Amino acid sequence: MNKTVNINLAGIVFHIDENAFETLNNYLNELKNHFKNEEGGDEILKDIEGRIAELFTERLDKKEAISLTDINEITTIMGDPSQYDDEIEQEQSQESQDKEEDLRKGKRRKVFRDEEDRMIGGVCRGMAHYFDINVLFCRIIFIGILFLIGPGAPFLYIMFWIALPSAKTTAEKLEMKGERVNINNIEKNIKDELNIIEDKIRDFDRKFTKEIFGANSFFRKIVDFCIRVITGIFKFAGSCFGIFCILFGGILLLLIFSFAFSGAEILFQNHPMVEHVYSNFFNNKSATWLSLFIGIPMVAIILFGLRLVNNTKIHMNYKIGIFVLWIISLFFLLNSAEDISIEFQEEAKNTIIENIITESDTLYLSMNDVNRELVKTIPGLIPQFKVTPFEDNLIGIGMQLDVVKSKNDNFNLIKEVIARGKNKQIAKERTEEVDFEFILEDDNLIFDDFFTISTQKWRMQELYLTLEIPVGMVVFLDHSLEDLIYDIKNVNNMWDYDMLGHYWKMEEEGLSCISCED
Amino acid sequence: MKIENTQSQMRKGILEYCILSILKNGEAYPSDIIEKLKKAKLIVVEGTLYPLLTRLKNAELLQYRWEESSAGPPRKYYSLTKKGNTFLLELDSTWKDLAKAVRLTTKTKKDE
Repeated sequence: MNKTVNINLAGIVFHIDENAFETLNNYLNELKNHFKNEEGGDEILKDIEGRIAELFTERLDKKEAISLTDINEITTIMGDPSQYDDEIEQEQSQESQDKEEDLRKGKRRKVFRDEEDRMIGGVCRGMAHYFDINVLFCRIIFIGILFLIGPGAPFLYIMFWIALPSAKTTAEKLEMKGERVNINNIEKNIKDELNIIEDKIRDFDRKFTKEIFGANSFFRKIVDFCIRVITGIFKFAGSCFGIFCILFGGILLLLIFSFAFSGAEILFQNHPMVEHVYSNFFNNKSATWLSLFIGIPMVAIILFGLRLVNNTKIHMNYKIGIFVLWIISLFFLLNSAEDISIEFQEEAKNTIIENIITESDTLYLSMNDVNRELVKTIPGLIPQFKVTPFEDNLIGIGMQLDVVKSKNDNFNLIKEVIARGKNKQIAKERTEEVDFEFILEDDNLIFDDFFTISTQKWRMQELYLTLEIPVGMVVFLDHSLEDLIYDIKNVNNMWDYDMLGHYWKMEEEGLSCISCED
Repeated sequence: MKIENTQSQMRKGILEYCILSILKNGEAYPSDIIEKLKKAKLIVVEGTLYPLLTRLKNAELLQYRWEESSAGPPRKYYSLTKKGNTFLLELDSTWKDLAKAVRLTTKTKKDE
């Protein structure tokens, strides 16, 4: 039993077996391809379809449906397009080759999946055909990539599986193994297309311009020439751009896929800050989505380039599929970005006041800057973070010191800690995990040059120090405080940096310099 | 140099000449022409004829008219144009010259 389909050939309806239909369809497509560059190609095709319809009618006297045998007989009668060349081709090539070679020569190579000889989807096999390399080599490269990128590899494969059409018809199979794509036949391709355009322009001329300007008028020649030059430039630019797209997309894709998985871990995972931001920040799941998110546009660029150079067309459904996949990857990517941002949602503040008890009426302020120079040499330090990993610890370096008038008769150091977290509670707990030390030796107040964060998690911790000085007392600001003091108000209206190395007395109206030479 | 090449080049011009000659006796539709050419072993597959006819028609050597057919789709009946007639006459004389030349040059000594 066979399923039949209805076809309309030269205006007559025929029942035809499904397998016979496939063969007929392929045959007609081959003919169409063969005559596509020929003037009146459509007409020739119609004539042939008419003849086939006639032959069908003859055969349907005794039965109802056209079978595969009929089709095979009819295609033998009508002959293969390659046989037409043999008999009538205007300019037969001097060194004639085998028929298949001849056929191959005529077709430029395109990328297809080879489903006849496949392991999974025929992607490697198709690539091997296209690049003219051994399929084993291609598979080894792929398995190499698989190890390199880990969990993303199946996605990469599936992407190509979806994007590349499989070679179904004979014509496509020939195209898959067709002429090697190189500069020469790209040039040939451009010239061919140029010729077609010229022909079309000539047709147009015949119909319209002839009556207006005369067949060989100067004006027409100019127009002709201009159109030729412009189309030539466009075609050439298009192909160049196509090649550029393929190279650009290919290189970026390779970079992305080698970096996004193995490389990203080197780039991000091993960056000292990452583990302090979010332990699962760059887990495999989000890495896969990230590489899909960046990789899909690259694949699109490559396919676009292939289309420009080689006219490889991708079916609309695949395009939509790829686009949907891209949107999904975007969604998941945003999702994991949200996971991170949620960690910074709420802010909390914690204030600690410490009394500084000293006998002297002058307090010498300085900073222990032993570690400070070391901290500055940390590789990958991001100053904006104001925190940095240092010797297995997370330390903050961005604290600020202000000096104000005390409300009572004591020296007080106010430590104000800010931190963020999922909620107020967690943020508050985080502020308590921040520790800042200072040393008081007689009348020397020596600040540590960093604060420590015991949770090892960076949640935008900041530390603001305020030293309260009772009226009548004096502080000396050592030069080591350069990075610490911030916008200290004073009667002399001096900038922070200029205040260093001087004695400052707290008057009723504010700090005033007692060692400055006006 | 392959024999197929030379053969096809020899056949090429003759095929056009023969098609025009067949149509000299009156209009015909492709199947008639094919039958005659097949009998003469000038063509093997039918598909060859259609591009040729279209080319000759585009060269304004042939014209056609449609005619309804009882067995299948409407047929194109081809006939010579005035230009085609002149063309054929020129080919006739060329062919006679060629045939003479071939006869003379391929004649073996025994024939003389």
